[in-house]
Amino acid sequence: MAATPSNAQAISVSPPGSAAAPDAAPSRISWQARLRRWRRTRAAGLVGVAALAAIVLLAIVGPLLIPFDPIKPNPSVITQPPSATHWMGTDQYGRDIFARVAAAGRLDLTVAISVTALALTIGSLIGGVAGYMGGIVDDVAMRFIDVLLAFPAFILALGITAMLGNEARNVVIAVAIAYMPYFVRIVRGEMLSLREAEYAAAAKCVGNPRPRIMGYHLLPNALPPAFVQATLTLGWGILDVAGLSFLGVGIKPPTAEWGVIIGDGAQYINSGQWWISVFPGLAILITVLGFNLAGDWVRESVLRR
Amino acid sequence: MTDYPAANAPLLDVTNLQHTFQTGAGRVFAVNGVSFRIDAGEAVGLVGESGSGKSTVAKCLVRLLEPSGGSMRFRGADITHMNERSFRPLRSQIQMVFQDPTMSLNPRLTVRQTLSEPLRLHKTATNGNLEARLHDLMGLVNLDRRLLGRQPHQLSGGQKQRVGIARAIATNPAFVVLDEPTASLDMSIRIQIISLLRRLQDELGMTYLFISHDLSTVRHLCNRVIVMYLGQVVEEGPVEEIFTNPKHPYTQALLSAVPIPDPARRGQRRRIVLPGETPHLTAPIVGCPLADRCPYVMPACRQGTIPFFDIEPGGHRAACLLYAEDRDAVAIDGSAESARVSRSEASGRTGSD
Amino acid sequence: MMQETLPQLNPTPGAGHSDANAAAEPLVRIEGLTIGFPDETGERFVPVVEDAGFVVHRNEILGLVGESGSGKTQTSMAILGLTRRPGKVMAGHVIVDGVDVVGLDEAGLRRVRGRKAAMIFQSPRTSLNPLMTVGDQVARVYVRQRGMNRRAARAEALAMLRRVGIAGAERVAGSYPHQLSGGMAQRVMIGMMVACGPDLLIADEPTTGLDVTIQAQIFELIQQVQAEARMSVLLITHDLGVVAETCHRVAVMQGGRVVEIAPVEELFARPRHPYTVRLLGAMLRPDRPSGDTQEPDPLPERLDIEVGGRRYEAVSVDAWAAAGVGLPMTIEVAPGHFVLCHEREDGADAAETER
Repeated sequence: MAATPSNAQAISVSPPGSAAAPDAAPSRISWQARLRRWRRTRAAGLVGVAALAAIVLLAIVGPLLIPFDPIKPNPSVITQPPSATHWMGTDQYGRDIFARVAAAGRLDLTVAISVTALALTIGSLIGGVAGYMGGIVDDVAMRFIDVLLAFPAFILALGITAMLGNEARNVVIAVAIAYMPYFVRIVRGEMLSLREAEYAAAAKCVGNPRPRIMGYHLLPNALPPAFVQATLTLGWGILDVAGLSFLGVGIKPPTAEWGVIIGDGAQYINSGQWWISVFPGLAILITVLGFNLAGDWVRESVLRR
Repeated sequence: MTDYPAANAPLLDVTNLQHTFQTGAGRVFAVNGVSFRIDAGEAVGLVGESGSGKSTVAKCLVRLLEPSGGSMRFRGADITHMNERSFRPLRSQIQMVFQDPTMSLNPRLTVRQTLSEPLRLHKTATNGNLEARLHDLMGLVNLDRRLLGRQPHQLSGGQKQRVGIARAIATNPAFVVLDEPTASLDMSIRIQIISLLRRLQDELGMTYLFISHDLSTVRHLCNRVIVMYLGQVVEEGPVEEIFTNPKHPYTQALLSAVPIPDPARRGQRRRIVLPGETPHLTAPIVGCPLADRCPYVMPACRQGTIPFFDIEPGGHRAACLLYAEDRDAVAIDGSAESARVSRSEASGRTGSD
Repeated sequence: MMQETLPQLNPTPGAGHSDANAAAEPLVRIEGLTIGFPDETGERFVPVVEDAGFVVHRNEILGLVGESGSGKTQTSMAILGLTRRPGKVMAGHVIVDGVDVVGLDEAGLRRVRGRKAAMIFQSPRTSLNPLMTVGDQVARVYVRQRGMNRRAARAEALAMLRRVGIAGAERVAGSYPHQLSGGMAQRVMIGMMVACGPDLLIADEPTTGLDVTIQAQIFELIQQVQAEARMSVLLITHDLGVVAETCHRVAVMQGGRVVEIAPVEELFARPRHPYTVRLLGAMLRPDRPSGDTQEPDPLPERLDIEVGGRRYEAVSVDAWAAAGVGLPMTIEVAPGHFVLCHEREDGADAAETER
């Protein structure tokens, strides 16, 4: 009986669990491609976050940088092109566009966040209860949601605002109702599978009352996909609020709102006064893009879990 | 059914328990008239293969499922159809350890949150001594108290199941249902969990119902065994009796199929192979559930309900006509072909499990 | 590299069951196999199998034992070139009947898979095509692997289903996988793989989720087809009872390494590696009364081994990092019994002082 040392490869001495340097092989390419994709997503996500940061900065700091009021007309400087004084020019009432776009940023971001928070909260509650209770509760809730989903979200929001009257609060409610069904469906679907989870049975055996099992044990586990949906809703919410306002059924005109400002400038764009509509348009573009890119990033990291 | 006086009542008395449920393919008869008693301090193994209904019995006992018939009494109190609100105080006394700790622990909760819950819900601990009680529990299941802040994904499989056990014993229950608690664990962890359960029973005086298809763990944890097949109890008795002197043909086949980790004994054992596979029941069984697969089947086996026959004084009994005191009488009685066995088409060999 | 792969130690017969064939080159020879998976950053590869080696002789059943994460499944997948991305074989050779599978292209692998080595998995029902009848799936093997016409293939398929113990083979041949029970589906899988006529059948925990009575039948079937077809079986399992009843030799894996190989009686009677000792000590024996099942004492992490006057120590793989051990080596402690161990620093000295 003899003994021979194992091949003196560097690899063979390292204990398991330690990392060994990779060497070149075909299988590595696909892995690196995946890695690159993830890094791209992350890079895009960072771009999205940067875009959002810029818009938030504009909304918060912008009004402090200039002496102009976003609402009060100034007949002496009607439809001036961008200049050192009026960075984005003025509109047909002589209001500074930069002041209006910045002020609108505050409003639009607030509205988008409110819309999403409202839709997420109500949608998750309805979806959670429907999915957990099942039976008649689920049937009633889902038929109601089916009715809402039969309309395109924007048309639904338009109808509800027309019904409630066009104040900022009502616009928020209308757009939130339009987006709520998506949250209901997502959370209900999660809840349907979670309710069969063994830890739900364990929670019952420990002596939890049903509302606590639903609210404390299951709902938090059903929410991550809803958060992904929320990042998308932030973007869509801004588009819809601006769209409603542009059509005249959203935020009322003197108020600084991106859709309102675009509407103000719409009739001037053919006569060369492009700046009234283009700057708020750019603000919307950057914001929505920012939400979507950051949202993809969030989704990627949620799915990777 | 008998009303036992509360004083000498068994801890748990299950009589003619039934559970059926509806599926797309028809009604499934999961548990068909199961009766057994468990006295305080026992560790009873409930063994059987898939389709035996053992897990269904367990879920009925902790009221995760509603029995379709029969009765369950805990300390003399009828809990068969008790509503959740009235049953909730009893949950501190009747607890369950689940099969897969990865599935049965809430992934978002820390060990501390998971273990505090039963203590708070049943007011076993006050805010003042909660932390001390948590440390006690962690000590009982041999876990480092520093793990209290961890979430399940930060624990190993064995550690997770220790948390599952700690959760079940948190309220000092009298009765714990263990639903295959070692099935998802590696061998070396399995023996640790089994010896932990034995020690906890000694120290805390709990009564166990241990559901398992793994007969070696049953032999090492239990003092009595109940064998189920197709929703019925076919044999029960003290653990050594069942393992060394099995009487029901099903128990014999089951035990002979367990691999023995001893190469020296290879080829020395006679393996009893039952033809076919466990069928799915879509109708209640008349007669013995094993009749279609049993090598000793007699006409009488397909009639009525097979009674239990005492094998040994210690409570070893089997529901098999081979052990009837007067087999001739049975045979004559069995010639009257009044009742026919009604079994599903799936009892054939293409039956899906 | 395992000692037993060195020429002077070959041939190593199996467990006395082997015929003259055993003297030939082993069917499968695995040498220094290292399989890595990328860590979270994707920049470094973490080995899940490291410097593993063993041989599978012709006409034997070799058990590959280990707990979850020991690398036993990855090792067996490498024999068929089935290492899944992003994992990859980083070093070593897997020689199946003279062909090195490592680095072989798809066309080459196709010639190995089926004809030389076939595999059955844990979940037979998901390994079968849900849209084809069982009979057609088995028949297709004969058409593809043996070039038979459809009619002959169908007849062969029926014969194969009967051979793997399926009663009512005609009826079963016409059914779809979801209509089969787990045990039946595994029988069909075995039939399909045997139909390929492989020299090696790899069975990866083939009875997971099956009842104990069905499990016994499946292992009996595997033993039966192995003996009939005179092929080799690599049986991956964590159940030492199954190993004791089914296998001729056993390889024990821990932490990606093969720590001990021996004929089955030898391994159960005289385990030398601390991990094997621990595994055997952790068995709950169904054939013994419980006695006092105490929580087992922590077993020693290292055991001394003396061979030919030299001292070695076998160290549990999970203790290597802490123990600061040197190069691992494989020594033969008894005929056909190999243990992964380390030369003791004081090994030679101790031997001398004793003299």
